[in-house]
Amino acid sequence: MRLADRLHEHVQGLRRFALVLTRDPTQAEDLVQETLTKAIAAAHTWQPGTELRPWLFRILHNTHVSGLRKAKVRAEAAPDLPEPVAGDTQLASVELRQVLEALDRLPEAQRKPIVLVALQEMSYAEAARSLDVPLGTFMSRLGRGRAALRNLLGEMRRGKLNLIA
Amino acid sequence: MTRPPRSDTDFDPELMAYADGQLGPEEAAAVEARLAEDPAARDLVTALSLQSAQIRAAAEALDTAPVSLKTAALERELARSLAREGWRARLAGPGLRRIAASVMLFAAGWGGHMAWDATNTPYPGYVAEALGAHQVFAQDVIRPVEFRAEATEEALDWVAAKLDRKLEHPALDPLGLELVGTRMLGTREGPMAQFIYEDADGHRLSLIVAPHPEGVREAPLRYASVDDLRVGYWRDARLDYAVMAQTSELQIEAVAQEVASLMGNGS
Repeated sequence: MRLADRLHEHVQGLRRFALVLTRDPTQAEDLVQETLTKAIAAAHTWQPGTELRPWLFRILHNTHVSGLRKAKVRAEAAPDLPEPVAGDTQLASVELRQVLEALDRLPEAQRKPIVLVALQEMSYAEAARSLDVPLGTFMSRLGRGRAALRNLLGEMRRGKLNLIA
Repeated sequence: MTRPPRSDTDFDPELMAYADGQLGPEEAAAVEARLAEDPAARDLVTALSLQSAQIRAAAEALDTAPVSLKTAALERELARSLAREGWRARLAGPGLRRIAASVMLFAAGWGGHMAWDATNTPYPGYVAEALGAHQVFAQDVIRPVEFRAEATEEALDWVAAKLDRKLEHPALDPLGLELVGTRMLGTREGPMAQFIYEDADGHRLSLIVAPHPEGVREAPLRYASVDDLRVGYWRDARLDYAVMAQTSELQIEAVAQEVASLMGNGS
């Protein structure tokens, strides 16, 4: 496949990953654009012949992490403001909303491995590289995260947690 | 909130890897044998597969906005930057067939390589940039250029302002090459203009023109060929040039001579 076509697929993948992480189309598009801008500036660090996808996802991951850090600083600087309402995801399906809500309750370190593996059909090794963690760490976060997600979804469906009222 | 105690199955990395399609055929067959005997393991695999399918479905359902023009532009810019890196590696690679310069367009020797890239390719950095731009834009059937051929005069004014050099109209009609249009590129090597041409069969050729610092020595026409693409590049007192297409050395030489005689008089 031509480079431009491969890249196009990867950018679609970045967008979907960003959408699930942010649940906000505007934030997701901003994250993708910031990722692409950084990738252009860092293009010389990509080794031709190596996989492009983990390289790109790693840039997105780092961009997202530093964005969260900035948001935290802003939030701490303005403690009296009410918390912004999470973007209305407008998902028709209750089940899909539940999955996103449950994902949101997981720690960031567990959420990203789950979403990456679900969306990208990457090998665990590639996904670990994308998130800049050793494979063992990645596997244990993925495993713990999925067990927690399964419990959360089970509780929601049994009605113990009423998140979507 | 109390949570049900976790069973060991919840952490089973083998089942998880199976559900995620990470196992080879033999390992997968071993897990399948296990699943046939173990209902709890089957439930876990089903639950994990369902989790992933729902996340994919949610992502798809969220992905409704039309592609932003800015994102599309950044994507093309990145494609070009990555293509440049690919060409840089290929130009530096051992498999490269370097063709000796057969025609000296200019008398001056090939010496002052002050603008050369630091990664040890034997080529000036702008050659890889040029190949990257050709790969991404000349092959683009939808929107290869910023200025169509009808707007060439306007394009030349724009290019002249950006490159800080006056340019002659690089018309190659006598060679059977029709100008498709012009594009300005911002690259690591500085600004470049790309002129894209098409022959009667729709084959595309790119001419790249870039300014160089004053005092850099002129360089004669040289060739390189990578895969099926051939590039000729040279430098006169004002500008760096590169011409590339999937064609013969002879045709590249003809184009280079035509360009040199047109542009060489532009100072």
